[in-house]
Amino acid sequence: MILLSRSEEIILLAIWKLKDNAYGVTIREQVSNDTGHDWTFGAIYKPLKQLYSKGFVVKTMSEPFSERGGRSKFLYNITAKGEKALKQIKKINESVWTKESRLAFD
Amino acid sequence: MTRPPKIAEILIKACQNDDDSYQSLGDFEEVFNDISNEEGVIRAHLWYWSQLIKSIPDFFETSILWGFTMFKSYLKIAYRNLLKNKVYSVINIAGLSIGLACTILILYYVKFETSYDKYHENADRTYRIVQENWTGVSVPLVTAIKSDFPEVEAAVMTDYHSRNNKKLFGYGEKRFYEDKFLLAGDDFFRLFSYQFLYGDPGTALNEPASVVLTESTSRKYFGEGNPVGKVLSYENEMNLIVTGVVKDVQQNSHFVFDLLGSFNNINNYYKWDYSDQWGSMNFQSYLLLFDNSSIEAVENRINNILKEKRGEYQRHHSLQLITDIHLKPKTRGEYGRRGNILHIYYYIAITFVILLVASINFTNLATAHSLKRAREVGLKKVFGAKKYQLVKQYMGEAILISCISIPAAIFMSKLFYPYFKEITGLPVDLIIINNLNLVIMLIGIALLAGVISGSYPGFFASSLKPVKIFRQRVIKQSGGMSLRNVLLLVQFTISVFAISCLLIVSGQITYIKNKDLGMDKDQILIVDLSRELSDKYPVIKNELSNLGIIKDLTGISNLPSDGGYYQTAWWEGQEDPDEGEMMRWMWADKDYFNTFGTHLLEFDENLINSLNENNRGYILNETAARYIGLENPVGKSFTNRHDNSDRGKIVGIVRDFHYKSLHHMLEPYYIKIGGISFYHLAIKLNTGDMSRALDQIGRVWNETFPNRPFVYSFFDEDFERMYKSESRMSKVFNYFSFIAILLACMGLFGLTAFVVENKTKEIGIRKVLGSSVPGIIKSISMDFILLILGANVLAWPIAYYLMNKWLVNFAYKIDIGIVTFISAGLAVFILAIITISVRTVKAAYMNPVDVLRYE
Repeated sequence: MILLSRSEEIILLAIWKLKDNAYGVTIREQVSNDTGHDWTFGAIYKPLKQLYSKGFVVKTMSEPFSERGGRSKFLYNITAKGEKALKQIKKINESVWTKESRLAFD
Repeated sequence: MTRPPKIAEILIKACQNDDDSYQSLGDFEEVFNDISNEEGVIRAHLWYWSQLIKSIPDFFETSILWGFTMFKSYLKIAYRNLLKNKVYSVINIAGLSIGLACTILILYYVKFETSYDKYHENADRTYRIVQENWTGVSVPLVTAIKSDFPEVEAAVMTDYHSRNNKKLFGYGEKRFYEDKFLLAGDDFFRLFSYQFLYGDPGTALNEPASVVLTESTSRKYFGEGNPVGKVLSYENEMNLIVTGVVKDVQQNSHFVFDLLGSFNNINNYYKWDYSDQWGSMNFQSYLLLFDNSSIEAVENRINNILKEKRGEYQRHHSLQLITDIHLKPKTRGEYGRRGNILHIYYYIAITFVILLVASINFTNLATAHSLKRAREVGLKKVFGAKKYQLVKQYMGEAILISCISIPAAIFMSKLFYPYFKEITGLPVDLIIINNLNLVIMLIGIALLAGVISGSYPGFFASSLKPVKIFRQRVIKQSGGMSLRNVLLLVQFTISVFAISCLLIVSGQITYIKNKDLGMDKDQILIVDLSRELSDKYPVIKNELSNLGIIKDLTGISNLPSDGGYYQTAWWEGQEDPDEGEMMRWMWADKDYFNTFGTHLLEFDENLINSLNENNRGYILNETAARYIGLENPVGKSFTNRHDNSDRGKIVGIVRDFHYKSLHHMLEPYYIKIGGISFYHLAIKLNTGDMSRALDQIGRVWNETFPNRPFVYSFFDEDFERMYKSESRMSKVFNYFSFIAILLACMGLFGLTAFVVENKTKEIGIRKVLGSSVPGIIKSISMDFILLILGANVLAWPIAYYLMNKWLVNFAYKIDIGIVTFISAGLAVFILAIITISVRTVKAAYMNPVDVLRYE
């Protein structure tokens, strides 16, 4: 059983979707688009840190960019462990939903 | 390209660690740039700030939550520890409270002493004119300064009119004697800042018959409301019109008053015209100089005027900043109490030492107990506590204790303030709560003491290795022991040092008080006489001698304790005016020697009897006689005027007497007889009934010099005053040394208790194996005894060096003997042994079964 909070799950999913271009700004955009409401940076950094320390993502540093005030990006990439976790969650979700099909919201 | 707001960036950096802030600053700036390109800079700035503010809860959530949780836990542990080790807690809290209470008292004293006269707005350019050791000047001098000196913005003369006898004031039925009635010139309120409740400070003292009251005086006579315009009677002979009311005068001023009359009326108050009396130097006068005026230039001009008007023999006049007056007082003529700048330093040093002793107690006990708490530390470390967290915990506990000590200290200082006030002569009450600076300083000192005393145990405990802690049942006291010994050594050293100083200081004070001065200082009344009145000296001498209560009477130019004049003198064989030697001297009558009981060693009776206004004679002290080196000096010629006009004969040799305080060495000194330029009458009374004597002398005075004030003092009191600050200092020193030693003993007690507790099993086993009670006591106390011996070695040279430095102030002093040090060392030794024995003896006599049963 893999323990992921809801926001960690959403952010991990976003990183997976963004492939090689997942860093603070893009992750925030992706997550905001996916969920339909605006996320603050503060709200994504904390789960990102957790994901990193649990080993679901790795961090690399890019070239410095002038529009970032000469700073590099922290690029996040999903690890095998992360992908496995996503799949597992998906499976769990699906199985829960099918078993409880009579609770369909329509 | 625009940059995001700097302040916001700083904020981000402040609330995140380096890695995190690097990332967020980059992300923030990227979005910021996007927005500023698309929607403009202002929107971008707005976004940046709103984003920052929205993110703050997320940034902080973790640290605040855990910070709070841990704080609660630390507090709980600290509280439980305080309750569990009661002896330890009581010693720590009591020690620190006593230390802080002393600090409050001393800081309060220092603050008060250094605040004198600083509340006047123009204090930085208001000066008092002073003579060598006298504080008054004459009316015409100040008049001349006022009209001729371009540097002087305003000049004010004052007279402490009620100094010697209270004055009667009345309004209707209400009549009171007032002892703080000051006369002051009309510019008084330009120099000195007082808050006016009624009336106009600019004109309040212009009219001769005006009087300004303080708030409480006004209430005393007129009740509530505005008294301006009402009439107050003075001594039933004058009516004064109230022209103003000021708030009550602060005590930290070198003069205080309840009523303020106009100096313009001085001639009426004394019924004497002072306007051309250059010799009546009775009035303290103040000058307000323009910014950047040369003080030296003003001083020179004052001295030049005096030389021109009064000829030679003028005492040197100089200017003294009013804020300096309190801590650097002149010997005579000051209105109020005096301070001493040196003693301020001593007091600060004492505070520091007491706090040091209290902090050392804390450090030692906390370090000792950290060994006991080793398991707590080990467990915390195993669960991942960082080193800095443990240090924080220990320091936090120390700070908690110092915070508990603050209210206790305030309570104690309130309790002991009356005694402190009496010893130091402070004229104010202790106000702590309203004194924001003092409270802040106190909290600061308490926190600092907490941090300093908590840091070592913190680092010590956090450096213990968890494996070691759990493997060994008893932690060996390595490392911790050595610093503890050093600190104990410091404490013992302080104790030995304090006792040595105490013995030396009180020895010196006793020596001064009992030293044979070569003259008699009891039952001598000094009456101030101005030079103008000197002409009538024979008259008043005759009148007073007829009273029958007077044994002897002499006129003198100086008190035989104030050092006298300083001039060149020539003696027989010195024809060249370039020869001669500077010597101190004074004028006196030939009855001087009987009056002061100074013993004439040799004299020529015929020569003495022949002296008069035209035929001066000189009496040298032994030192001077030795110095000039003439064989049979009596009868040889001598003078102190370079034109030889006062050439006379040496008519006698007087035994050396101390013409100055014992701070100074005896030098050649002579007394000039024949002239009558006297500033004082010295009257030796042969009655014990002082008040009757004063009454009779006062009546004769008033008949001879109608309307001139009868100003007197007692010579022995003047004399005591020279050493007053020393005797005060010695008293304060005694009490605070006692406190320092008490604190050190408390610390030692706590530490022995701990050692004994740790060694109970060892003692038990020793007893089973046949050790004797003295043997056990010895084994526990040996460490401490060695430390005391070491402390003596350290303290003796320090005390010897510093006390010699202090004794340099005295030309006549006790020798610091080895006996002093040995007795100080012995005293500390005995005290320490008693303190240690309280616990060790009990431990040595216990039944070994009690401690070994469960093993």
